[in-house]
Amino acid sequence: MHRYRIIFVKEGDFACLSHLDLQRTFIRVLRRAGMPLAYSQGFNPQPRLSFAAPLAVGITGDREYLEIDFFRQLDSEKIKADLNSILPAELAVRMAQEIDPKGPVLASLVKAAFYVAIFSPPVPELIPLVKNLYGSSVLEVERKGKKINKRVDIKAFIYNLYLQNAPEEDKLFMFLATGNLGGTRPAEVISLLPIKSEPEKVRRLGIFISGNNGDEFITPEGETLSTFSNGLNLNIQDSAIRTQTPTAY
Amino acid sequence: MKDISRLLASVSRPARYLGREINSIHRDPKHAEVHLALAFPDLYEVGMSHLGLRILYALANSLPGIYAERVFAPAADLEQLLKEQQIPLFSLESRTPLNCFDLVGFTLQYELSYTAILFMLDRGGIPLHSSNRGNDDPFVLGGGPLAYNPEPLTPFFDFFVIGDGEEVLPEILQTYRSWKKKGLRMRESFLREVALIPGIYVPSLYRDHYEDGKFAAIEPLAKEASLPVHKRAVTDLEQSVFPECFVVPYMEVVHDRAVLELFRGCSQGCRFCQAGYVYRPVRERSAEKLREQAGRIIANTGFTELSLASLSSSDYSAIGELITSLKEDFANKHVSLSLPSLRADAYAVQQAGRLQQGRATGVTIAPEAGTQRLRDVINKKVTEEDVLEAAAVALQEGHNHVKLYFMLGLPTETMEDLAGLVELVGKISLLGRKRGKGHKKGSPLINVSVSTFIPKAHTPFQWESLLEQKEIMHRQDYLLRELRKLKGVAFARHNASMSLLEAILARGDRRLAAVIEQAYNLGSRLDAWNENYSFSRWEEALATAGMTAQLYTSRPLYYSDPLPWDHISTGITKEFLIKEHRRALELSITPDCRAACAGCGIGCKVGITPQSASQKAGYRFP
Repeated sequence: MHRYRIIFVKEGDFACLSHLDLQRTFIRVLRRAGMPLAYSQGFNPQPRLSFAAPLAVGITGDREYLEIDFFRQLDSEKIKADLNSILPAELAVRMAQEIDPKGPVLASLVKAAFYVAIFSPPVPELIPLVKNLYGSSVLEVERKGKKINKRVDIKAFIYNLYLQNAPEEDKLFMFLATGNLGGTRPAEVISLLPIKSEPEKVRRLGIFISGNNGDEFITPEGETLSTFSNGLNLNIQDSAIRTQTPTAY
Repeated sequence: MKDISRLLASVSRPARYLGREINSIHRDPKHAEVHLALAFPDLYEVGMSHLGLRILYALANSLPGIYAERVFAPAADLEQLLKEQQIPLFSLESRTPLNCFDLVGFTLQYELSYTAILFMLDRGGIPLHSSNRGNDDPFVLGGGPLAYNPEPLTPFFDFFVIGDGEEVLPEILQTYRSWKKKGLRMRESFLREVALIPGIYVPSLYRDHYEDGKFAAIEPLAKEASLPVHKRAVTDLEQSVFPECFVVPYMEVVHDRAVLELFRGCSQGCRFCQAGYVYRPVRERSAEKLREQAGRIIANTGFTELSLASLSSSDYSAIGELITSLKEDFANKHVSLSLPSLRADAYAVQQAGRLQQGRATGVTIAPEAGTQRLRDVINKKVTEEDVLEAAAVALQEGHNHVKLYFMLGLPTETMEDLAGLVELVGKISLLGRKRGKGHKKGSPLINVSVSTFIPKAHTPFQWESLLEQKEIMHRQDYLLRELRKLKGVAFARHNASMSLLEAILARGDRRLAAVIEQAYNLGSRLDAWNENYSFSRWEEALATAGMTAQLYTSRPLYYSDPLPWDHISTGITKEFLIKEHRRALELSITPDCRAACAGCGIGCKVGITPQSASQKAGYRFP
């Protein structure tokens, strides 16, 4: 068996595609491309696809990860080219690479995600409002349950927030816990701010797993958070992560 | 465009309006000589499940110079936003406003979607009445099964297509193209030209007459207006266009699968069934052709389910062979096959059973009526033994439930027939308990679904009445009470006032258009969706127009009484329908046309196989 990791984007109007729709679409696209999909055993066999972290509706993704099992080895470049000949440009595959099929899937490793919400025009007094968030000891949001709604404290899931001011827009960067140990989403964080304006755009810039020494986050490609944020022209220090109140306004 | 992207972010299920699906066709509309909107008056998930729309989309886009796009009805939340922000209803592909198209063609599939047509025209910026449309407005056309009685819709449409769309559409587009090239922008000159195409009905070239408040006649007003208008039918289905590049929806639609059309028409002759009459004669595709199409469709779409569709799929002459070859082709390819529309006999259920793999599902059997006497009336040629055997096979094959379809209010029905229905369901439920294994505990083994009989145009039962509302409910209550006593049986019934509305609209004349428009103005939209439905709007609209439901739902007194759809000809003679109606009341069975020609007037000489169709060109329409 051969496992491939696909990095793709989810852009433009396709942000409105739900995770289930995206799953169904990828299965059909892979089938249409004639890829040698490996299926699960059992009564109702399903192709073995694993998305690293579902993306909430309305958020675009710059680097989304999908891992797929094939029963035959394929050329990575050909996988990319074949899928892109079928997929709309907004769901383009950026990279395909073969990975160890015995290793854990990204979905089981992902710990955090990096988002940016763009407010345009800028929100007056956003800096003190974000600072205030840090002052509160409890940050409760309401989550819809199957029967009743639950109130959840998400403070522990907000690793860090950074704000970039510009005359024409505010960029609120959010480094948030995600994955199977719990997490939060940009919409929940923004709902805690006493503002009326909705962000014009929310993007997920990347996802992070635990680094080798356990106390830092790295991208699946091994970049540290500071390398990653330097690429975004965002100046942060490694030590700012996780515990410290935000300084990099 | 940017506005529309913004809208998508604030409505529920935005994938309905996204477009850009795999295999959808995107071109620059500016380069199209003729820009056609294929409009479906219901939500995306319903319209995208409709085979006719897919056939026409593939056909129109295969013609040079033509660009066809899809438009569906927006749900209430988007409708509200479009209205507030004054954004016109747009096509899925290029997001072009509806009123910028050359032609807007609606699929007429279900009576309760009539107000959705008005609402799409209105939101699309097209005047509701054809008489108010100017030279820059599109032409609005309609086709599909309900075009066989188009009268209630006539003021809103410029013309109708009677019969198989793939036969007529290329001619319409050609006529439009040459008319447009001439540079004359007078609407009427086009309508007179298009009226000359056989199968086209241009209502503004006819006038309706009434006597004593009853429909009397339709009179042609121009030399181009033929009387009657004969339906068009594909003669050689084998050679006709069939989509092999189905658009693959992002969201889950009602029928989320690829479809093969085994044949068109039906040879059973059930007397209540409009499709069985208007789609005559039976025309089959060969098993080899279907096998090729199946392979290409699955390769082009990646769908995991393929439905073998028709009006009665187990009647397909090579069904056994076809299933064997498809099972061979798709072995280990993770494609499941399904066989809808089964006859209620063991053979059919066995064929369906051959398609089972993995998860067991349900099987649907439609005895339609509870007693042999009543089944003879409707010409449903199955016996109680057939039904019991079919149900037994279904349960043995490991299906976890059986769905039973019946109709209530059929002509001559008495309480005895309903008691017979209950008894039949009782026998099946005993069967189930004896033999059924492995179904989920607590889930019903038998789902009984009872719809209300509606006397449809162009059937032998067009001279029958709809049962009174009170009586429908009384009989439904009886079934509910009696079926509740049986174990493992669930019962579902149809909303009685929806059936009344469907009957009125199905049997209406031109005067009903004012009622439809009034109901629309009162807020009626997607009536087929329960949450939006209110019969009181329709009652009010009828009252405003000074009309009663009864005018349309009670039967005419004489066979010679003029009917509002008499000027539309399906090729079946009125004499034949009268004979069939009489035979129904005498409990006489009319055999399957494949066994013996009943002489309906189509004159197909039982030309059912594709070979005989192409060799003999056996049927021709006058």
